[in-house]
Amino acid sequence: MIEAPNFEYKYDLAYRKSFAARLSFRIMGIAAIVFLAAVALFFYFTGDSMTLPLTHQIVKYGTVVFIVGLTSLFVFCTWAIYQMARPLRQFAESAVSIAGGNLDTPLPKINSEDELLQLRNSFEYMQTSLKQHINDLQATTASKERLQSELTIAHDIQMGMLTTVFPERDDLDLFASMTPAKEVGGDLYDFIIEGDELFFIIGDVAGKGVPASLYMAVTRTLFRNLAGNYQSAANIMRQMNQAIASANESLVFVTAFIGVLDLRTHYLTYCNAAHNAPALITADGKCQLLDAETNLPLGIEDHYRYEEQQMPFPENTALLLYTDGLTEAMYISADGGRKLFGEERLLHDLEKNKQASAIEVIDYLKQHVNVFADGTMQGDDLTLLFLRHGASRKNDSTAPRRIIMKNEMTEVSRMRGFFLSVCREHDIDEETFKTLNLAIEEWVANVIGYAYPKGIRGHVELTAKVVDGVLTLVIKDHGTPFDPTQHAEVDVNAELSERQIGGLGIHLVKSIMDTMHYERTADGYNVLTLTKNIKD
Amino acid sequence: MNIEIKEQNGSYFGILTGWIDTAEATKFLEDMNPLMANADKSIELDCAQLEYICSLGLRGLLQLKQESAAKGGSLILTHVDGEVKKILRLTGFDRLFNIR
Repeated sequence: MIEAPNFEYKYDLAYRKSFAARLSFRIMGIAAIVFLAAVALFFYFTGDSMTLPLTHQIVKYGTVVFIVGLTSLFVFCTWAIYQMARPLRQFAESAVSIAGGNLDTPLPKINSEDELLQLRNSFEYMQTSLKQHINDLQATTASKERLQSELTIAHDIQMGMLTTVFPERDDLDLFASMTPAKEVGGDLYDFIIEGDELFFIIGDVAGKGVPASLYMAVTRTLFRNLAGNYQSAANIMRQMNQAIASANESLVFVTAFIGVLDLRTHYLTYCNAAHNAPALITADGKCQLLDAETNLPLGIEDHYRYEEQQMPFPENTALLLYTDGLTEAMYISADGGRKLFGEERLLHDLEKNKQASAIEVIDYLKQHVNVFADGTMQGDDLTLLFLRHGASRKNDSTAPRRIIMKNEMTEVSRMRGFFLSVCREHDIDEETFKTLNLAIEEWVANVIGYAYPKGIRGHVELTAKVVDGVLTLVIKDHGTPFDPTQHAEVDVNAELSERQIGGLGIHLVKSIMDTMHYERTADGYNVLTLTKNIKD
Repeated sequence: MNIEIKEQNGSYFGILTGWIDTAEATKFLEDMNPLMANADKSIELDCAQLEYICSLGLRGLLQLKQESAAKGGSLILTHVDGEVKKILRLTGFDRLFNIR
């Protein structure tokens, strides 16, 4: 705190305290020198006639006149200068008052057009520009405070978006965390369990801060909406990509890894959009990077064909998903040397923690990154998701499984995912799965395409069960009646020119399946029941 | 599903890959257009990477074959195996197509 100067501007003859006194003393001093010089000259020229009474008279009266004159001069000067210096004292008072924050302090009135007026103008200018600066500063401070409080709210919203309630199941140990480098970040993770499938994603929006966080929110919402029963990883990725790429004015891209883990059949399907390959702990305890082929990041090319991979994911297999905030965490030493955390350290850490729980693994890694960085500021968002597949729940394998589809053609790929899971559960081989899938698809596609009038929403329900080596499929819809058993047979032996374009689908269903039975129920459903012996 | 078309000395080669299911079939028919337009030439379709084909996809092949026959071109399917071979047999297409 600076103290204001304490001025006592009273009339004071003390030499140092008054401008007027100092000037008056100087004038008097000059006058005294002039007088003494005059006396000296006088005696020099009138030296011989010093005894003359006239000379004596002149000296005597001259001295008296001079002293009286000098005194009057002093009084007059002091008064005049005191008067002239008064505005200066007022300026001094005003300056103290302005410095105290009172910017509207009145300035002394100056009627002359001399340096005092210039001083007054300068003071006035100082007052207005101080006011201007203070206003600007107040506005800047206010907007900065508002921004900061909005960022804090945004941080809370973003953290609230991330799922923090983790599944409590015997067959799955999953934990995840996200630590943004700034208030808000562009990393995301999410997971949903639908039926017996776990859908999970990790992603990293290019860039940091607010712009990245907006895309993070969009990406996470898209995933939430698209992930659902028997949706394939590549399909989710494709649709997310189309949505992001179609409205991507600022050319932001997102790297992501999506996995779908069938907890019933121990199969993992995954699709990698240019994200870091996750680390895998195999069932026999090997730690390695997952073989994850790279597709384009999301948001670059709207018609890109994302490809997925799959692998068995037996009991005790674990997967760590991470963003480059982990492997590219940096340590900068005092001499400016840089070191990255890297994949080797990560695999080493996993090796040490292969039996640890998901929470323990993530805590360990986060702590290790902190120790490694040793005070070097966190440069990028850090996100980790760890999952371990435990012993499967005992399912009643003869219980029917069901999927309900909308009358949209894209649903056939979801149906394929469902049926693949059914086939895996009952050890039906890949070739047989494809053949059976074709039979179901032909019928279901027929229902989706023709059962409901155009533009009307409808559903088709598929139930599958295997009892005593016989697969029974029941397909049910609420559309217009259609009995395929009454449908004219396609002549598969016809010549090329006579081969009809239609009718192939129903022919395929009949030839692939062992039996086909149609019923139109009293409450208006088409129910097609198909069976196939799968014992051999 | 993907179809890659190459032209070499006036002959056309198509490589089919992946699943041609009902959802993908419309795109498959569109992608076949360049071949339909050149049905009077010699066309060879490599099915080694083709994993699955639904009836809509088969219709596309049938149309191409009929167009080719009408215009005096030729159509050969190569490396037909597994699931696809089975489907062609079930539909009698194995007798209509020149398969190598």
